[in-house]
Amino acid sequence: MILGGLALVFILAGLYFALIQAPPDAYQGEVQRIMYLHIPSILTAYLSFFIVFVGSSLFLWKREKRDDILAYAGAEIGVLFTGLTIVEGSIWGKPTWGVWWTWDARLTLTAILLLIFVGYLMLRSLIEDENRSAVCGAVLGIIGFLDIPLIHMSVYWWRTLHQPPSILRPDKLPWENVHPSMLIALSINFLAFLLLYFYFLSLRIHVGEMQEEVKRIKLYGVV
Amino acid sequence: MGRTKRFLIGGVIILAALSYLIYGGMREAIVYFRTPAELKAQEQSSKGKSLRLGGMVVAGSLQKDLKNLTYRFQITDGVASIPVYFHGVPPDLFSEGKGAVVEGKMGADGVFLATTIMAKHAEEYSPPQTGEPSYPHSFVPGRDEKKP
Repeated sequence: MILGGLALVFILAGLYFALIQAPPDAYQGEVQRIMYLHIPSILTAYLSFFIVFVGSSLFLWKREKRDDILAYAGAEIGVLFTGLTIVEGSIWGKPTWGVWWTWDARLTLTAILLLIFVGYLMLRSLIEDENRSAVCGAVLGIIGFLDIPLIHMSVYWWRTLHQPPSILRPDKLPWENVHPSMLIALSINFLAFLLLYFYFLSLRIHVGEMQEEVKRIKLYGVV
Repeated sequence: MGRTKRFLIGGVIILAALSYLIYGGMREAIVYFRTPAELKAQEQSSKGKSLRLGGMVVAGSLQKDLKNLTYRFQITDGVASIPVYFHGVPPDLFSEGKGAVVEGKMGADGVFLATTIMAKHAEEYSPPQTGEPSYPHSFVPGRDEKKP
């Protein structure tokens, strides 16, 4: 609950910084403000699928249900943030690039990421045997996560319409690409997304635990 | 059983879309655009084929006819440059000296006939400098009307 409230405060502060306090971009003007959502969204999605990777690996190693609950939760929220990223990217792309979508390596690999994890969610609800569902999910979750380094490197390895990273890169400091006045707004929004993410994750894990509890009660009777 | 069937159909659709994207999409994405030098080298084999050409819009090369919405310009990679003809509305960020990717076909006369122009932009963001016209390329409806 505290996490949710804190997320709300930071979202409101983030909106203020992104829409009012931060200056427009010298080249792109006002539309560049979509960056304050687009970058936090994709970084949160990356984090979420990293959590799927960790949960899946731990589950395959130790076979503990709680790791599977973590992975499943991460996949569900990751799909949400990947979808958001693609929608925001399209809205940003149309006025700047001139197109809503193009099949360059970065966009194609991101579409693949979304499809892999939509597939993951379908697989989980399709397989009725619980243990098999968790094992298949864990394998797919680990494979799916491996798409993220490809997405990240795609703008270096291949010719793309999408620009190289502004923040996640070892050769330049963040404020060399993003002016400090904009970096503040970006950081607050990233923090807001992280808080929101962990709020969602805790809720979703709680749901997973309750589902386990219900199954247990159904099998063995009340408590 | 009905639920399982629905999910199976959905799964098959997702699997098909995934394989299409991985094989077809990535094969295309690996050579997302050709540079003018590459296109010049493959002029014969690429004639009439739909493809993308990318590079910098040569400064001073842009001729616009706003009445007929036609644009003529050169795209260069620093080695070779190719003249491009476009009829339509280019994106706001399309301008001379900046990166662009165009989609279309190589014409018989050596002019690239573009059907789509896409503008590339850098990963750098900064506020407008004092004194310089603020964000000249921005998408702001009605902005052009205010221009003297």
